[in-house]
Amino acid sequence: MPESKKQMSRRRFAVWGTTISGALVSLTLGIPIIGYILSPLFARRDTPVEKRVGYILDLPDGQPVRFVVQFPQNAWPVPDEDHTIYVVRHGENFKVFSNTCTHMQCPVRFQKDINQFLCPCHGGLYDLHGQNVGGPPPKPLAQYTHRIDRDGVLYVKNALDEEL
Amino acid sequence: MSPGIKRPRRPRRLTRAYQWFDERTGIRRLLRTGLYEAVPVRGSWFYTLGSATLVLIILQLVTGIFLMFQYVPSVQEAWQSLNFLKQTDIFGSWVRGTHLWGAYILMFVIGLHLVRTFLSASYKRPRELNWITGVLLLVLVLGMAITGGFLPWDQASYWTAVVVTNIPAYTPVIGPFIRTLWRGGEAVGPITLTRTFGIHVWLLPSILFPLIGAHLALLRKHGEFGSYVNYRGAFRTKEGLAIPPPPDRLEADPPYPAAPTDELWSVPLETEDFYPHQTFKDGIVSAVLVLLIFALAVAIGAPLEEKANPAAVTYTPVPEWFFLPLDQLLVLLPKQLTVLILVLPMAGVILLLALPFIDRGHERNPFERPAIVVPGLIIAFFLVALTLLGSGRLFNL
Repeated sequence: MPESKKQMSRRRFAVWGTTISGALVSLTLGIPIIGYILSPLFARRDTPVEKRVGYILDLPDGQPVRFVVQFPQNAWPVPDEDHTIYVVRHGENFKVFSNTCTHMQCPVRFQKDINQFLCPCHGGLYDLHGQNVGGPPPKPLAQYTHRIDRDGVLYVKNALDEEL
Repeated sequence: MSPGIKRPRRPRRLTRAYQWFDERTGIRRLLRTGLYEAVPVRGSWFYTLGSATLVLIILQLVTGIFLMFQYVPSVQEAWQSLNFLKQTDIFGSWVRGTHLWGAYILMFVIGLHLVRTFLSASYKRPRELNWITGVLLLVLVLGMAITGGFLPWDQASYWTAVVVTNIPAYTPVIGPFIRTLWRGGEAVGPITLTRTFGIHVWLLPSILFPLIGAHLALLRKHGEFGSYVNYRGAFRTKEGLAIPPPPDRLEADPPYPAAPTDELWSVPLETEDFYPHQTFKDGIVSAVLVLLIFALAVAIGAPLEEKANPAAVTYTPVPEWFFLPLDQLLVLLPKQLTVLILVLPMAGVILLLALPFIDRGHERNPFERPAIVVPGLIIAFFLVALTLLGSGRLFNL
């Protein structure tokens, strides 16, 4: 049976049908899966939680003191996670540092012998103002949003002044 | 038994059952094709590395499946579940030890397999895709090693997770997004563990195993090349023994063993059946490796450090030994060049993938290919040197 050019052949129809069915299945599966994988990018950020740290007006000058604060984790209700913060007093000013290295996010610690913060992973160094003074870290230590009430008690929010 | 007694019936029944099964499945033919392939004789101990890699990957699959009988992928319970295993179940601890040491030895053997294939130039036409699937498999195995390291959620796991998920953040423009996707949020947390667990037990294996199938199918399609030593001086063709012309008069394409229908079909000078001759050597090497792994699993076992503690300031994170070159780069690279931590490994993988298209001549003798072998050795030297530089950290020196 001769077919006119405009008429679709039976075979061609089947080819298109197969392709379209396959595409439909892929799309139907693909959209939710890709959205699900990407969802952390669009997740609403939780409002920062404020935690009481303690009385700090008796801290020694120019000497970092470590406190452990509990902040929520980024998921369903699981117990809060411990975080180290370093509080440094410079005269009347207080700085509250995150101990997350700005290089690879290793746990930075205060080294008394060199009077600097040291990252044990790749040897990053920070001074008492949080400035990155040695090794590979690209940025100063991040600082927590905080307030000191009139009784001299420090409160810290799990919000940093810069992206890590 | 007296000699007059009839032969027992059982074997015949078994034979009949086999015939019944064969008629429905074609198993006999499958076994024959699988077992009686002509493989090169000379150098064949070197060709056991591929089968050893396969055996060790299967070892990982088996031990991994059974570890899931107890392991719980949750930040609250992962460590506890493995600690319970360690405290109460000696056999379970051996299974976990076998999974860890199997991974270590696998990395080593897969590296040797790569070096062997590189030196014998087995990646040349028509085996470019054998090589490329092999490189992809190497990348996937590395991915398995990275993701597996996260799962115990002890201090080592936690800080490995932090550093490793942070590395892609140095990708220009999209870096921080990749980090957020892997972590399931800004910081490493419960979703990091579940996502990485899913990647480790389903996502990567579901790509890895089909790719192994392709790697093996290609191997069987083209036959084992072996090495140039198997063809030196003469080669056998369909017509009989042939002496190759002097090198300057060689045709563009050298003879290589390919499918029997190929015009240029030839086989190495001396061959023997895959079964039982090559399988004997394969079996010995694999058995020695598996026994070694088991011995290490029993003698040393898999360590389980303190439970993950994000607030730690006394813990010094140390990378797994196979990441020492990369980690040492992080120590050595100045801060303006940290992005090289991504560029160099990617360049390495791209170079490996491109190798069959860079080295296209028909020379296979490693001593006659200095332009390829010398740069390869230099790269290998740098990897070893970086590992040695970083190795002090393994012992907290």
